[in-house]
Amino acid sequence: MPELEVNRGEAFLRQVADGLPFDEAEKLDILRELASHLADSTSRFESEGLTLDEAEKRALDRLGPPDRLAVELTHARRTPRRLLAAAGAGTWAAVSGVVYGYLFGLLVLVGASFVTIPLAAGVVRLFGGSWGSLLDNTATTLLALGVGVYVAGLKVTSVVAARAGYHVRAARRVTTALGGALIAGYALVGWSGILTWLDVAILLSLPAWFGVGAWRSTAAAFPSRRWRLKILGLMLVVVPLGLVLGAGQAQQGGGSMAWFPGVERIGLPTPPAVMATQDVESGIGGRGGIASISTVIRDPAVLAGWSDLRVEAWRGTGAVGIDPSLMALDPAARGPFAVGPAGFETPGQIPPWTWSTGDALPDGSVRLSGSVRIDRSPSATLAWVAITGVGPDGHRYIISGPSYDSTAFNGTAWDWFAAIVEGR
Amino acid sequence: MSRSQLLKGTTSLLVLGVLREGELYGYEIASRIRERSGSFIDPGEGWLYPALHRLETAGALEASWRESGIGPPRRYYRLTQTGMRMLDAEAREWESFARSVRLVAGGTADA
Repeated sequence: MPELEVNRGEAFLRQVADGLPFDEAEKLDILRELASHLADSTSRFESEGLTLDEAEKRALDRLGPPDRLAVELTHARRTPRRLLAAAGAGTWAAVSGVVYGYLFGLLVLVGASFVTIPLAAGVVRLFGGSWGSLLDNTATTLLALGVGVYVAGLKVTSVVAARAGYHVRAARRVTTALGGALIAGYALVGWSGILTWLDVAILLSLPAWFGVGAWRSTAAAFPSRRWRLKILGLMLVVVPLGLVLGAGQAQQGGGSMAWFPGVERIGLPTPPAVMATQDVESGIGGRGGIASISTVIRDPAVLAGWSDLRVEAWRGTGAVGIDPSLMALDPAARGPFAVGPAGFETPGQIPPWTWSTGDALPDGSVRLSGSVRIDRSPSATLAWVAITGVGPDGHRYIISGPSYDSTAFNGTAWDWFAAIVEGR
Repeated sequence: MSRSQLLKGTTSLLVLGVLREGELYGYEIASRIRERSGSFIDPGEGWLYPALHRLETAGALEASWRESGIGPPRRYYRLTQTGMRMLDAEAREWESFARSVRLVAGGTADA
């Protein structure tokens, strides 16, 4: 920019610059032109006999108030094409911001865990007790994603404002509302996987992470030193807190128990006649949130007159792998939280619901099997699964099981709330 | 009606008109308008740059920076084909308007 000889001109240009919502290159272009005009205009008035000070004052007066000039220049440069460019640049800023912020967040979280996990383990060794991490893979990923959407918000508003020719104050209302709505939609129905209450809480907070970023929009480089320190400090608090709060988390696994508190609520004990004809090849298997259970009946005639054969999953308490004697049916459970079909397998065919291999059975035997989806209940971490049926006397009996299987909710945040509303 | 009010409706016509002869930079455009109008149109230049930028974004003008023999580099404006058509259309519109005003005011249609 050509240098003006007095500060009044510089102050004028600075005021114009402050009123322009464009990026630095575009602002510089406009200011260079105005500076060039002021130099020419000042020279003309000097040549007409005015002093330099008077000449410059006159030249500035002829351009009018700087804030009005900035407003008129802004309006003049706004076009629908700029809005399209702003949408494109904003999308790119959002995507790159999410990726960069996510990687940064992940790096900080992993780095923090390297520090805190050995610390926690050391404390446990010294003072005894047990600990587990509340921040599982999903929570860690979602926290890093939170950093990602924050950075996206931070970048999007300033980019959109500069490209569209609007001040950040005006642009951030649009970016916050639009971006927040998109992220809220994604958080509710887009993200799907194994979720805990903490994961759902982090997911639902993502629009707020974006909103804070969009509102605090800055064109400055990310991450600044101050920002890095903030994140690091936050993680040093969050991660140990997660380790402490997560003490005694459930382990994965499954098995079976003949008796445990509350089993009578599932059904009456297997009638001796049925039990006598059951093969030892009975059991439970899990695959993708589906628990399958089967039993071999050597003499199918014992189930003549039985009806409504099905697989039931009941909510359990206790934790798999900690102490089997503590495992029980949830005292509050008055019915199965999930029910699936059960039936006799056709010899030589493997039905879709079974985990059996389809191996040949002894002559005259049949395999009774079924499956049930157990990963759709937010409150179920342990499921008791049994094949039940209504006997000829009209009572429901346990035919096979119950066997336990650990589980975790798997779905979207929307599914999570739907399950809660439906009482699953 | 003040001259500045009259100017508002004719800024495009004035800018495009002086650029018909060739490339000019902002200060030259303002000077040329002032000289051509016998200093009748000389309201200051606050209107000029918004008008130039509006015409540029509308595709009527093209701009490029160039070193000048004297003083700082300047941003030169050049009329495009779109600008040429816009100038013709605005000149016709202005002629019709001026003729109508004269007729209404009690004069003759001829200037």
